[in-house]
Amino acid sequence: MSELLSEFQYNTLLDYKRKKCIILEDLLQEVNKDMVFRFLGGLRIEEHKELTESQPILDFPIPKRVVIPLKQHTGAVLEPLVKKGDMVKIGDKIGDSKAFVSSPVHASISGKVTSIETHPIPTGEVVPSIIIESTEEDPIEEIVTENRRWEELKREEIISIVRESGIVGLGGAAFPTSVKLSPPEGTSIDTVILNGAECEPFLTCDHRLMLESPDEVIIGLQIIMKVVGAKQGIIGIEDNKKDAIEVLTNRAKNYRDIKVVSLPTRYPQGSEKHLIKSLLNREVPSGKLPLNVGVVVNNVQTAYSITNAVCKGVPLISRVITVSGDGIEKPSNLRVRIGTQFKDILEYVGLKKETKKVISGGPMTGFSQWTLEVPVIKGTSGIIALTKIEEEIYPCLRCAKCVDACPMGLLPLELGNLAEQKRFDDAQRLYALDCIECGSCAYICPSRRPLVHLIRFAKAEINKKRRR
Amino acid sequence: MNILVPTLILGVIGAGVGTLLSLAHKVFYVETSELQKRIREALPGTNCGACGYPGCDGLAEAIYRGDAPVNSCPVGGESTAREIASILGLEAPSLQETKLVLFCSGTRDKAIRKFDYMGIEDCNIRSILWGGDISCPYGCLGGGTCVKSCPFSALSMGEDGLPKIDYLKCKTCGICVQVCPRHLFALVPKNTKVIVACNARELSGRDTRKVCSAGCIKCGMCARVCPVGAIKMENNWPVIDQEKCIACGACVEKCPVHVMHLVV
Repeated sequence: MSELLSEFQYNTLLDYKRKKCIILEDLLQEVNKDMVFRFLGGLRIEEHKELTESQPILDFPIPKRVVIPLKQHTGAVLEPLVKKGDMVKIGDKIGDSKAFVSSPVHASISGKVTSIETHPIPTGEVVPSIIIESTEEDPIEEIVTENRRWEELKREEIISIVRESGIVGLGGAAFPTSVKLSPPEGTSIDTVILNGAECEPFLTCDHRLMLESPDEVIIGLQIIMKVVGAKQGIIGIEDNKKDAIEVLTNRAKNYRDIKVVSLPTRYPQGSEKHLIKSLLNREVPSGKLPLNVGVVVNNVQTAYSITNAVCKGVPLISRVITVSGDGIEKPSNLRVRIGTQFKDILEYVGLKKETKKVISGGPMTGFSQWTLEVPVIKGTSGIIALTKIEEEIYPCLRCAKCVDACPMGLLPLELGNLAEQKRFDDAQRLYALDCIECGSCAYICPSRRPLVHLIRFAKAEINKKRRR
Repeated sequence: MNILVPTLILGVIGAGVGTLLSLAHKVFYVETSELQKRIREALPGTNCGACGYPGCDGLAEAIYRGDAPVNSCPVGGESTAREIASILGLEAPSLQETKLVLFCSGTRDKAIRKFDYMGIEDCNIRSILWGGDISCPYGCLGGGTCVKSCPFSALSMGEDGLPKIDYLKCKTCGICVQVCPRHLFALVPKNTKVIVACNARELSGRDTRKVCSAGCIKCGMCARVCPVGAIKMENNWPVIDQEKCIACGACVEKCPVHVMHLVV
């Protein structure tokens, strides 16, 4: 080298190289800060979000009759705290249980308890429910009882408020939030993720909520961070919601430990495990929880209701849902009371005659309904009415499109065939229990095989065998 | 000429492998006793698996070893049991002859359906969606799991949505009794003459009417019309004394929901 270059030239080059290195490192860090990782599999699907994307959230009129099921969450069935004929006020606790994994329910309207009977709920179960008929119209604002500052509350106080307010995960699975906020001893949580991905087609309720109440969402995130003792908070939003990203980024600027990350639009980005992989490049091991990798994930709407519960003392008695699909006259985003029956909501927005199927939740993971008597429960994120339905089912072609699509890296075709042949041990060996039931396989299948249905069946049978 | 070379090569390979096979037959020969062979010949040889052993060979071995009683084969029935007993020099046990009946009358026009099911035709898979598409929590789902499981093709799905039993083909192996998720099949004694073809014991008459127009409404009419007093209402359910029953058909005729079936 020295033969070709003079000392001076050599030093200059070295300097240049060092500088370049520093610049590169800086650049990489700059990129790394918001680096988004990619999960395996997944799909790009038709979104249909334009139907309700620009519709502001409307308050649904107070229903005449609500059905409040005593099991709206993952966990134990509650005991009713009222009797037939009792008068209840809006916000009164009407059902509770001593079990740790449970969440109380509250009266969402003021009125008279007309009966306590079993009633179907949108997730396919039939559970005891409290039926209340309205006697007076109470707006939600009336029950704002407290004006607390969350900064002054202790960790235990916040957890007990969250539990007493009946807050569960509003993304769909309805896992009691108080349980999520009290991780077992010895686990350290470093990151709280707010899930604003909303990857399901048609649904826009979380999108509208982030646009219309960004402050509540951010306060909710801060409360969760305080409770679990996390150092950073991330709000992950899919890049098809540019306006929500902008609004939240502007608010988050004031806080050093909160950042908003734009995620690529790819189904199922909103799945807990895939969100963690995308944002932090951590993988949740098979059969483990996000807790095990030091992360707590909550939906943005859950954060919003935590803020309402902690700062204003309002229990979870209403939620925002999207009513959409080609079978709906006026697709809209509605704030409805928990327990409002589907028929009332569909009457309000107009249900077309040619509707063939009504789905509770998103079209990928939701449940199709056979009766419109079912109530909106805490986990209901939307009501989708469709005029077209799938046609005939054909045998598996073994084209393996589902294998490419599966975000968990499973073999849906094998699992489906094994379930049909009732070979559940083999299905368990192929990790059937890791299936997140996202529906990617059934969506992509050219033979229209109901793969999720089959895998769900296999999972139910495996769990039955385990319990024995 | 070219054809000779491959023919020769294949011939040599064939001869070599054949020799090896015959050698293997000699070296690895498994001794089976003459008795076990005779037991195996006495068994029906359908390999249906109803006995719980892997096919008829498995059962023959188990009987020979004394692990299974001589009347273990539900398909062969009494005659097979007697034959095996005589081979082994044992006393022939008495075996109650049975027949298969279906305890549901909820045909497609009578059982009220909640929704149209579209998906895999299998009762177990059907029942995980809202507990099945029929309203009755006890009735036949009509998915045909029993039809597929029958090793003797004795079951077929009728036009009305209920499985039909072909008594000429049914060997009372009881596999359908095991696979039905609603436990609607049963092997009843051969002398059974009349059955209540409904499984909704737990539902009240009023609730039964809500889900099915063919379900037993527990009215007790059958008990009142029986000329020999063979039917008694016990716990709100007709119990039939098959010894007393004369198969006159009075209850079948009078039952307001036509749920009493003659099974002679």
